[in-house]
Amino acid sequence: MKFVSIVMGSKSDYEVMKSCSDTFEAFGVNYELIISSTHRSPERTTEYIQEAEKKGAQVFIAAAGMAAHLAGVLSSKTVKPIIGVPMSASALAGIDALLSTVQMPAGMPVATVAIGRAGAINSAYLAMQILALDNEELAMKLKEDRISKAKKVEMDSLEIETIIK
Amino acid sequence: MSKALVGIIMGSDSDLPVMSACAEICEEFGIEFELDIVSAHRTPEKLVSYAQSAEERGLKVIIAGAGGAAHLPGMVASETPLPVIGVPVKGKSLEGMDSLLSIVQMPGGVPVATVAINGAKNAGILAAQIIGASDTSLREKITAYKLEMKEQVDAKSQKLQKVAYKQYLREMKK
Repeated sequence: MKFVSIVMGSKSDYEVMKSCSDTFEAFGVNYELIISSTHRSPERTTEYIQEAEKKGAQVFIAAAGMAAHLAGVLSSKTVKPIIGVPMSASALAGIDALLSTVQMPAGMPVATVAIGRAGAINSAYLAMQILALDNEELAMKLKEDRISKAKKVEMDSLEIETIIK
Repeated sequence: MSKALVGIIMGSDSDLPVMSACAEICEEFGIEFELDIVSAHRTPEKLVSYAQSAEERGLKVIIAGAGGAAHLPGMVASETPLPVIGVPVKGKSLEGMDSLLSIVQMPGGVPVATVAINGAKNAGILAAQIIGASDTSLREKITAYKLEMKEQVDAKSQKLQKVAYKQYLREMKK
C-alpha cells in the first residue's frame, strides 16, 4: 500500500503536526505517524525508516525543533523524497530548526516548508502533490481544493470589503 | 514537442551560474528538462502562462531559483498544481537569507519545497527523487549516486588516516 510517513522528534510537536495528519484525513490519503528522535532514539529512527520504505512509504515528512537533524538524517537513509517541517520549540522561534533543516549538503536534499503550523499543513500538501503525479483522483481533489480556497478569500473579503462604485 | 519532465526557471540570467547545477543533475540522471528565465516582477504575464501551462506540457516538477525578494517560486506554486522546488539564490546583501525566508514561509495550502541557499544541486536531486517516487529505475540511479558519494568520503577518510594532516591540507590547496 502506498502511504506517507510522518515522523516527529518529540510528543510536543504533535500539537502542530496534527494539522498535517488532519489534512491527509480530509483528502483520504493513507499515512503513518510516529515519534522518533534522532538524538534520543537513533536506532529506532533508522529501523523505522527501513521498515516503512519496505511497506510502501512514498514520501517521508519529518518535523523537529531546535537542532533539527531528523529530516536530514532521514534523507541520508532513503532516496524517497523527505519533507522537513521546522518546529518553533526554543527561544529562537524556529529559525534554528529552519536553518538546520534547509541547509543540507549537496546530495541529500530536504524539501523544507515554513516554520510551524503553516509548514505542517504545507508538508501534507507537498506530499500530496508528489503522490498526485501518479494518482489522478488525488490530483483532481487538489485542484478542487485550490478553487475552494480562492472562493474562501472572496468570502472573507466580502465580510469587510469597501468598494467605491 | 519537448518531453521535458523538469522545468528549471530563474528570475535573472545572473542566477544561471548557480541554477545550472540543476541542469547538470538532470543530465546525470537522464531526465529531460527545459531551462528559461522568468521574472516574477519584470515578466509577470510570462510567469502566469508558464506556470499555468506546465502540467499540460507534461512537466512533473518545476524548480524555480530567485534572489532578493524571491517571489518567483511562490508565485509559480500559486499557478500550478505541480510540486515546486524553490532555490534561494544568494545576492549581494543579506547572504540569501532574504530569499530563503520569502521562499520557505509560504501560507498553508501552497507549498514550496525549499532547499538550501544556492542549493541548486539538491534541487535537481530532489526533483529526481520526486519523479523517482513512482519510477524504480530512476530510484536505482539515485541510490547509485548516493553510494558513490559515500565511497568518496570513505576514500578521503582512508587518506587522512594514512598521510599527516599537514600534508593533506597542502594537497587540498593544490
